[in-house]
Amino acid sequence: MSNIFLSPQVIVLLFVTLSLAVVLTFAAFKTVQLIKNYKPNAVTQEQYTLEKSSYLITTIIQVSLFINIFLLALFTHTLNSLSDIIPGAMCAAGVVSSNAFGNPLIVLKVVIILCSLLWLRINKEDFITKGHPYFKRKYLFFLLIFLLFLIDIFLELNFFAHLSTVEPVMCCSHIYKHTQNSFSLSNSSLVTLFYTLYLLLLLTLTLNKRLLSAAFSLLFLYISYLAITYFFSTYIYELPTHRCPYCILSSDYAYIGYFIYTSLILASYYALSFALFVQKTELRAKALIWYTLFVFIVSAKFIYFLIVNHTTL
Amino acid sequence: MLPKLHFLLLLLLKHKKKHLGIFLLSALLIALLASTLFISASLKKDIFSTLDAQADITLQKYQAGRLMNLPSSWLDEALAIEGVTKAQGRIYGEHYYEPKEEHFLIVGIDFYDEQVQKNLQRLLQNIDIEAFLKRKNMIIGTGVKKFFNEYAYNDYYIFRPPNRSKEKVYIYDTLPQTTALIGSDVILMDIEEARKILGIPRDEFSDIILEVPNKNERLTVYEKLLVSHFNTRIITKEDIQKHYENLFNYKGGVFMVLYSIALATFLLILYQRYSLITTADAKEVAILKSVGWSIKGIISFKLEENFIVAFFAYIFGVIGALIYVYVFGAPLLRNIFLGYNNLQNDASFTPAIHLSDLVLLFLLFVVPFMLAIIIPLWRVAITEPNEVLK
Amino acid sequence: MIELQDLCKTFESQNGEHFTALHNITLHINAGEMVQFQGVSGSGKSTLLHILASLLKPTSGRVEIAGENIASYSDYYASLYRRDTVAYITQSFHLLGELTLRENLLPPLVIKELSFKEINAATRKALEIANIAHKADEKVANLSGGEKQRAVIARAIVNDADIILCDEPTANLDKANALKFLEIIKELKRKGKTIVIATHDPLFDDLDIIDKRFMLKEGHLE
Repeated sequence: MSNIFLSPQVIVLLFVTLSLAVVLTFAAFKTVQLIKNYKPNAVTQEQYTLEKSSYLITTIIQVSLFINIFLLALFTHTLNSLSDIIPGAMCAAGVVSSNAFGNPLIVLKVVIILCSLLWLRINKEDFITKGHPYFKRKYLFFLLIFLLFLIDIFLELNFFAHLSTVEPVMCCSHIYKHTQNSFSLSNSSLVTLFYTLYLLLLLTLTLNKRLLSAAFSLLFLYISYLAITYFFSTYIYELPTHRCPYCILSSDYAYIGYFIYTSLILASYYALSFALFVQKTELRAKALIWYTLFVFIVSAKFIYFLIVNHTTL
Repeated sequence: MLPKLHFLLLLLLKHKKKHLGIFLLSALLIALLASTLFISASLKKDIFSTLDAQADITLQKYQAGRLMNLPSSWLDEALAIEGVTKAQGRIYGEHYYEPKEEHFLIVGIDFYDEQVQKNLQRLLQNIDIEAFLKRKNMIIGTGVKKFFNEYAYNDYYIFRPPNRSKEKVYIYDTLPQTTALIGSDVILMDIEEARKILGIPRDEFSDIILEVPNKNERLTVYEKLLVSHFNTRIITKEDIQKHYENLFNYKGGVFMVLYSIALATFLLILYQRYSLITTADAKEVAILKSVGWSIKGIISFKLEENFIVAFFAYIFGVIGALIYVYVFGAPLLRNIFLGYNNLQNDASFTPAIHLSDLVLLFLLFVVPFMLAIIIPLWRVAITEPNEVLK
Repeated sequence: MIELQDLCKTFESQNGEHFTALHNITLHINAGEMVQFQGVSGSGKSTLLHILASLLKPTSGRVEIAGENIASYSDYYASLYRRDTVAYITQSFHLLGELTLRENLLPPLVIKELSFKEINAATRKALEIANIAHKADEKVANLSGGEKQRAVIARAIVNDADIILCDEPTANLDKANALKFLEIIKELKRKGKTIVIATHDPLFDDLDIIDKRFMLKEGHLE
């Protein structure tokens, strides 16, 4: 057994994740029963019993998904602090890329969080609408999230099991040293794309182009990640060679990364729930506000640098 | 929102007896874990503050798997490497006291070195270097002092170097208590005196320490040292820190695993306890339902109620642990961490509280707590009111 | 206002025996009417009231209140209905004994997300109508039977419900308190409330304020 499993953070993370897994598995079983037997608008005793069990399931899901959001923060924090005991690692980037499970795990976790937020929104709408219009859909959606969650546990266990405290790993400046990213975009076109997408998102959301804005918001999520890693982070670190999406999460940069990623995820969530599920203008307004806030925080240091030095890094 | 909270607290206060058992048990469990976290954080802080003053790179000579003295010529070679601002040979070694099977660590230091003087003055405010060097003097750790006192060496001690002479060295001062964790068995003396007592020839050193102020250059220096001689071991400051970090994680981790088992047991008790639906519970739910509460509303109300219980248990537990560790010095638990090695260790705990530790503890306790009670609370919430309301 | 159609309720005991408490009840009650259900204990009066209060789901049939079938409500809408439309007064006084009278009026109010000011206003009004304002800060466990009854009334009407259901309201009261109860009920009728009383107390037999009387016998309407 890798002695990573004896790090307190990892133990807490696994303990909490596994207790979540227990109750979610229970909820998943109940959900299957519910989907099989539920008939909308029937007034039989069986329906009342099913309705009651649906309250248990939704409570479990709500609480679990809520906890899961905190677990993501704990996970990134753990990665950062594990870099203290893994040779060569300066921050989470080295830890994440030290084996093949790290990067898919991070992506999956973000997907789960986004799906969870969407689920909570659908559930809320379903609950307060007569006749429960989303009833079956939301439980099917939950089963999908549950599946993702199981994959997440599998990846997480493997990830920690394959972490070595002996073999040195690369540090972030090494991992992201190529100016070429996976799209082979130059930095200037990356940044142009970033701002263009932002404007397009504002436009499509305001014009109620639902499918288009959903597509843009997903694309923007990915482009934002690239733009932060290869461009904006260098301004936050004030070092042109320091490219890293994780170091901004550390206390050295006032935990600014948590604000950046939270605002991005919240914005995506509001945009997606507006575009895909409920057309409430309140959701759209929130999406617009969070997107703008995100773009503002991310670009603040870059723009400040431009104004002061009249040039880029 | 506020009136609801008001009502919640009102009911909680009226039902304090109902929650007392769970509250106390929770607080005890939290106090136990919080204590170990505090102890481990304090020890870490002490060790790392000492390690921080360590050399950036330490160069040692290994032959046939054993640590050897190295020639003084290596000192100049190391200094010639770009990025190394300072290289210093060190003299140290163990002095073995046969009758009691005790080891002391004799460390020779260069009292004319300005940096050394500064460090010493930080450690011992009223040290007079000139007076110290006037005769054969030494500064000893607290453990050594205790040992000397036991054998009535109150002013001086007579060492027996390998060349069969006698070296009488006076005790000048004792190291402060804060360094006791790793400096308990240390004897500091002038470098030449240490050479004599340990029997190390004039052209040799125990090892060499290097200063490389620029962090980015350390890797290059490391590589150059590596190729200069093939029988070296090079230890960086980070290596030492990682070693200690792993060690602490290990001790803390074993405890955490045991703790998780205790926690799981507690959760089972919790589940059992909340599965008992009393007539009072059923009546309360029936009343709430009849005036318009929904099942969902009752479940969240009960969850909030228990969250407050868990939260206050957490606060009480943490405060209890603070008092236990920092006021009473953690009797019993300290032995798990300090062990019984070497001379008796008198380390006391320097306050070191990390927010992340507290968050960790909160998650470890409160999350399973809440998850364990969802099902029982739901059972309470779905009790049929018509049975009760007759 | 209240429209029952072919209402049936069957209970299943733990050993699998079926017991039908209500058989095909069909009736109609207008808004503002005061109605009495008569019948001996076990004739189905309480079950009927529980169904009207949405505390119990019928086995079959429709329960229409202001045009909506509350039998098909999900728990959330049923709870809104209980909160805003219907008030339920029991024979044994279900109160939270450790709390004061004033605090006992909190449960129906806190779920409406009102401010403390609005809560105080509603509380004062309800206590006055129920004629119990002078005992507001008394612990409920220390109140007498009649006072407890009025406390239950105060809590039931604090949200200004349109329909008031009373299940044997005078069963545990002496004559003087029962008369006081009648006074309060008359006052509520004057305010235009629809009132349904299930009782076999002879006190109600020759009351002229009762608009309709129904007789329940072994679950059948006669």
